[in-house]
Parts: sequence; C-alpha cells; structure tokens
Amino acid sequence: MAISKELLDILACPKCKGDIYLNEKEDGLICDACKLLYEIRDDIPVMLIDEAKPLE
Amino acid sequence: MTEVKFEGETGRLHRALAQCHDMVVRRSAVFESLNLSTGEKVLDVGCGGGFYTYEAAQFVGSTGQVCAIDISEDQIGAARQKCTDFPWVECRAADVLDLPYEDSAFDAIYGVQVLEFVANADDGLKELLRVLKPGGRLVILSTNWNSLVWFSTQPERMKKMLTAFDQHAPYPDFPAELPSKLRKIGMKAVIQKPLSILNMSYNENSYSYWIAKGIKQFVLGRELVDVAEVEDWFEEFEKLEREGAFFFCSTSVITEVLKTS
Repeated sequence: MAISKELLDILACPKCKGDIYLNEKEDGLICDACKLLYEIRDDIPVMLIDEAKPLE
Repeated sequence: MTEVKFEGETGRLHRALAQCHDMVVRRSAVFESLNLSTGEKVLDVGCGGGFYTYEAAQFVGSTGQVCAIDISEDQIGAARQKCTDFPWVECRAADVLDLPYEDSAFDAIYGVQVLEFVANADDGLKELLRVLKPGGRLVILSTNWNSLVWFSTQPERMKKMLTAFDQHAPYPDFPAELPSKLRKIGMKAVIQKPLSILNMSYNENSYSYWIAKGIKQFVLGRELVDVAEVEDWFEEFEKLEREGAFFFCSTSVITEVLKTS
C-alpha cells in the first residue's frame, strides 16, 4: 500500500514517539529505537504497541 | 452468539445510526465548531465507520491531511473503504493513549462519543494535546446520559434499563467532568455548547430508534436485566409511537478547547 510521504512525516512510534519508516516489503513500519515492527494488515497499519512484533 | 457476529451486528448498528437525521445534525454542529479550512492537518479520534472522516476530508482538500484512528480494525476497514476516493486520508488502528504521531502534528483534533470509553481519560486528553499544535483546537462531543428523559408507562423499568446502560462507559456524564479534567492538565474549555436531541416519533430516521437497539443489545449482552423485561421495555416504544405518546430527549455537549502554548 502506498503511504504518502507527508503522512509518513508526522507518523511516530506510539511507544517512544520517535521516527518510523516503511520496511522493504512495504508490509510494516519499523521503529529502530524500540526494535518493533508495526504490521500493515489488509492495508491497515496497526499502530498498537501490544500488537507490534519484536525485531531481531 | 459468536463474538465475530456480535462485532458485525454492532458495526451495522453504528453505521445505521450514523446516517439518521439526528446524527446528520450532530455532525453539522461538530464541523461548525471545528471550522476546518483548506490544507489543515486533522486527527479524527475513534473514527468508527468514517462518517466524520469523509466530511473532514472534503473540508481540508488534497493539500490537507486527515488521520483517522480507531482501536477496532473492523471499524478502520469500514472507514478506509468509505474514504477510498481521498488519498489524503489515512486510517489506522491506534490507541488514544499511545498515538503514533509526532508532537504538534495537527491543526485540529476531534473526538465524537469516544473519550468517555477510555478508562484513563485524563491520559487520553494529555496525549491528544501532545499531538496538537500550539494554537490548535480540540473539539469533543459526548453525552450526559443522565440528562435523558424517555417516557414510559413503567418508569421504574425505564430507570432500571438506563441505570444498567450507565455501565457502557466509565464516564456516562463525560461533558460534566471534562472542565475539571482539562483544568488538571493545565488546559481550559473555551466554551461548552449543549446539543439536544428530541424525538417525538420512533422511526428509522431518529436517534432513539437506533439507540434503543443499542441499549437492548448492551443490557442483554451483559445480562444486566431479565430478558423478558428487556423485551417488554423495547416493545413499548412501538406501542407509544402508535398512540402518539413517544418522547425521548437527551443532551450532548460540544466542548471546544484551544491549546494556548
């Protein structure tokens, strides 16, 4: 799914409020500081801390 | 009843409710308070099926942005579909207590019938103000459920039903508590405006018609009142309508907040 750049600009990690970015497969948003992946399911970014996947 | 079916039924009911005349009037009042203009960045908190999102998108246009969040992925799916023609609308599942946005990201924020459901509403308010720009405005609409007068030939039964329904949210009279909550976090309500709904008729275009179904579903789901008693309560409305004796009146409140610094 295409997330517009303007919208990505104001997006932040719900946990640390830091920057996040789209992963290569474009199926999730990554927070490097928290090492969390926020999945995009059925084109819906799920920005819930409890649902985020830890990154190795 | 499976959980999925319950969710689907609740969603359908919400969408039917959103389209009745009283809700059209309510949306119009909220947007009058918000006073959106072209190019603004707006946050829709608890967007549900996206009826407000759809209108906000047209106010701000393609040079603006509307971010719509809801805790329910089901609802977000519906909102997303509704706003598919507006690429400047972004719908995502998020929690008002941990918003996925930078500080001072929005010109305006609104939440309709949502903060009364957040157990720690004070923290929710703080988080909303964090993502609001200085000079930005926050508009909150909630209902004082104890302002409701709903005629019944059996007032005790009505009282029992409405008392049971008070459990639907941690703050059944949220507008009444809001000024003190705002004070606690160093904010102030600029103005509170009452918005009453009065139905003399029980029909599909009236708020009471849908809220009666919602209350019935809630009270039965939680097993708060006898099934037979709930059915009797519900069926009386058709009878009152035939007799021209139906009366429902409740007051919601629009609270406008300006972030001064």
